[in-house]
Amino acid sequence: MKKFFTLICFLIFLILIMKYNSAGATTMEFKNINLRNGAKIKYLYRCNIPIVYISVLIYASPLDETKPSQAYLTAHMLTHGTKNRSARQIEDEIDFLALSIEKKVTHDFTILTLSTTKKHLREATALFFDIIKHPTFPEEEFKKEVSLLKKSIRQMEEDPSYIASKEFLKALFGDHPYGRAVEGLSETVENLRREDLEEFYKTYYKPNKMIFSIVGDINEEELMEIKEKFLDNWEGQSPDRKIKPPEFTLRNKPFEIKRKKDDLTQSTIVIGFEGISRKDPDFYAFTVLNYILGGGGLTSRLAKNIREEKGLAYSIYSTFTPYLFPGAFYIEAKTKAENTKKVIKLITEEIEKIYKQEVTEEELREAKSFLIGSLPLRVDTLKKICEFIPLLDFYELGDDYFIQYRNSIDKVDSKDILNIARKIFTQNYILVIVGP
Amino acid sequence: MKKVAIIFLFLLLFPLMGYCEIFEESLKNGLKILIVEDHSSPVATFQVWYKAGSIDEPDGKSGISHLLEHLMFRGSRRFPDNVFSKIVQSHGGVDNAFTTKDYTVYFQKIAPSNLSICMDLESDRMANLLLKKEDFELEKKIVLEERRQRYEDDPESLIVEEVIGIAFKSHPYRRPVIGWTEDIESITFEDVKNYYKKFYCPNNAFIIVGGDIKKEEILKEIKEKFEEIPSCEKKIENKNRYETKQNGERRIILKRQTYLPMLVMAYKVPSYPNKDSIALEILSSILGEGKSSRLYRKLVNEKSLAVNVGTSNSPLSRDGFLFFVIISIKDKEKIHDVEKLVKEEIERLKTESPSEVEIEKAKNQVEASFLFSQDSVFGYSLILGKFEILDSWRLINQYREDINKLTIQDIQNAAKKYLNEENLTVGVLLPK
Repeated sequence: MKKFFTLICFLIFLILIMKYNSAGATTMEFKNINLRNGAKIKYLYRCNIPIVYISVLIYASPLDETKPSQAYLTAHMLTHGTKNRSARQIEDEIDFLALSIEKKVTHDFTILTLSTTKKHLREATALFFDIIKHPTFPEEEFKKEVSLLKKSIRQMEEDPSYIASKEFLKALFGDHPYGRAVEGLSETVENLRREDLEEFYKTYYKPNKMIFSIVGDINEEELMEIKEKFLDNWEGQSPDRKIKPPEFTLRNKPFEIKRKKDDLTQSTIVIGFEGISRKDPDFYAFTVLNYILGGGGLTSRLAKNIREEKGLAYSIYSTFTPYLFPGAFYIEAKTKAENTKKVIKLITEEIEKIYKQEVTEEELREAKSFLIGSLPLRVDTLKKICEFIPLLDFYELGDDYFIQYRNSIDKVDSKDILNIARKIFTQNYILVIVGP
Repeated sequence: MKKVAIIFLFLLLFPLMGYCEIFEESLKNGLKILIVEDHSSPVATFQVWYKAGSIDEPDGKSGISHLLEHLMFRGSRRFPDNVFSKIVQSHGGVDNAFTTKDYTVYFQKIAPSNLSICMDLESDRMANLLLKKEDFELEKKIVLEERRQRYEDDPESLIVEEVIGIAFKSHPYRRPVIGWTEDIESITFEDVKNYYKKFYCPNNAFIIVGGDIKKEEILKEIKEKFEEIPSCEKKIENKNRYETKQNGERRIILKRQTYLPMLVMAYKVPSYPNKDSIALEILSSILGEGKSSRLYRKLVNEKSLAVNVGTSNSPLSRDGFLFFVIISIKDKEKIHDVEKLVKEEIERLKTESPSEVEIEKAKNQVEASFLFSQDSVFGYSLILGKFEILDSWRLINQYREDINKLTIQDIQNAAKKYLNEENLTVGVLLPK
């Protein structure tokens, strides 16, 4: 029987490999299961290593908060006590079974991921669904967690990159939830009460919109067992999200913020603008632009100019945050304090250049080759796959996203890049300097 | 009763260790090749490991291994003008490198069909690095920026660097991998050229290729591209490195602009294959790994004195290194209380046997971490490389056997032998 099972497992594995290779890129043949309660499961069987990942994406984030830190602490308090287990029992079980339950809160959603060995799958899933379905948010645990979070945020506020990012987001988004870190603010975290978490949980942690992904050495029979035991009997509707886009204000001139910190030897420089949403048709052109300007590691224009040719920085890059609503685009550099002005000038010149002139054919070709060719690297582990596939539904990208992505990047031309540059960089920038 | 062997608890450790087959071959010039076939994802990794880390650096030249690592991207005879990353990325791959106290690794992650380009690049820079004076001056500036960013402006990293610096008096592990500022400034162009010549040769390196590959094809191509590279002119002598006996606890206090005070306790410990190093792995798990560990329970949950607690051990170092206990403390007035409590917990380990549950938990954690490491062929290759640096990747099996043989008495003996004040260096980071 065991031999038969191993053979089946091997055959399925072979078929999956053939699917991968025949496309020459990643075409993951996962299965979609829609449940009566509205929840969805995305399932991918991979039996090469006896491990299993289960993720659940929840439509709950700072966008839904009535108070900062509410989404973050709700997710983090799930493992601090349930109707069936105390906080200490949960910690004991997690460590004893060598599981992990990660809680990631983004500006748009919350995602929880269970990692377990196949050997402990049964105990692990029982625990995972207990913390999702029956958390109790005990008062004493809540107080401890708030105290720890406040101290942790205060410690993060000593980090120059954190300070620069905090100031930049506040200047760009104002009071909108995108304008603060998902952890919240050290000055407001103590305003939270445990009832705020309970309320948030009761409103948003409902199965009807949850997207589960289950990836690894778990066969259909085991999958169905989980479905029947933990999901089929779970009912509940979360309301439509009342979320609002950020409102941006026009800046007549560059907006500059300086934060002094005496001990530092370097300045951390952040220069940024309003970005785009994930659903913006310019997403692909902007992805290519970002790669050429500062997202492409040492080959990007900024790194080549400021680091490789002038030796003025070790770290310099650009990035953008394409959320449900328009997010941010920014460049961060760290340089010896005396070089601050020089580096700011070089960065603004590079922005000016990409705003005025089309990128070269060579730059365009190389950026596209990287973005298309490196796609499989972004999902090269079961864990990465598990945490990625729920996003296909959340951002409505479609199950054929990998093909779409490749085609869309391929279609980008230098004019598209110039157009998006003109859209983004028309505004005056926001500049934050944290230094001595 | 304390001598009851825990052998049976570990019998199932590392079941089917290695879900992918590993092949090994050595070329005529002494370059060893490890090939890991893993067809679970359409990706591959190519790694070149040089046995050259800060442990190998001459006095006054700390950071030279790391500086050379930077220069390795600047160009070689066939690929001049800083094009390494550009070539890899334009083939849809990513590349990078890292230097440690024991070795330096260059790697790419790329589609298997593009592995040829990695072999071209790596073989050429192993044999024909174009070291240019202007690149050398630029990279020194970049490394000094890196040092400012990672150490001078990061008090939590700086205190760990300081602790390592005073924990070792004579052993080269006292020097930071990135190098001290004055040393970096004093490294000459000639120094780097000589260092490259001495350490970057096939018989002081090995290659690990992993992923969705066919070993025969890969091996054939590696032979074509690497086998003619000459071995080192001079054999690298095995230096007799040693650390003088420590006479009493050492202590450093660092005051910086920070919010949370930090306590770093570092005990000098041996490395594998010394069996005590694995007993210390189990001790690390019991003391400070996870929220159910003894120190987390005591300091974060029961006493509310700390924000975070962690322990770490580095059994796969070339020489004995440090067993760390690192704690972020809520209140600077309580640092002495925390240190006292840590020492009490350590003393308790010496006198009371760890529970069977604690031992089994440690076993589960080691087992799971090995399994999860195989979710990524890149990560798995790194583990193989760490064993290979010690002697051979096959030591993984011996490591398993040695853990099987561990007894509770071994664990307590290791605590008694190494976790004591004569072996301890303490660092305290205080807010200014």
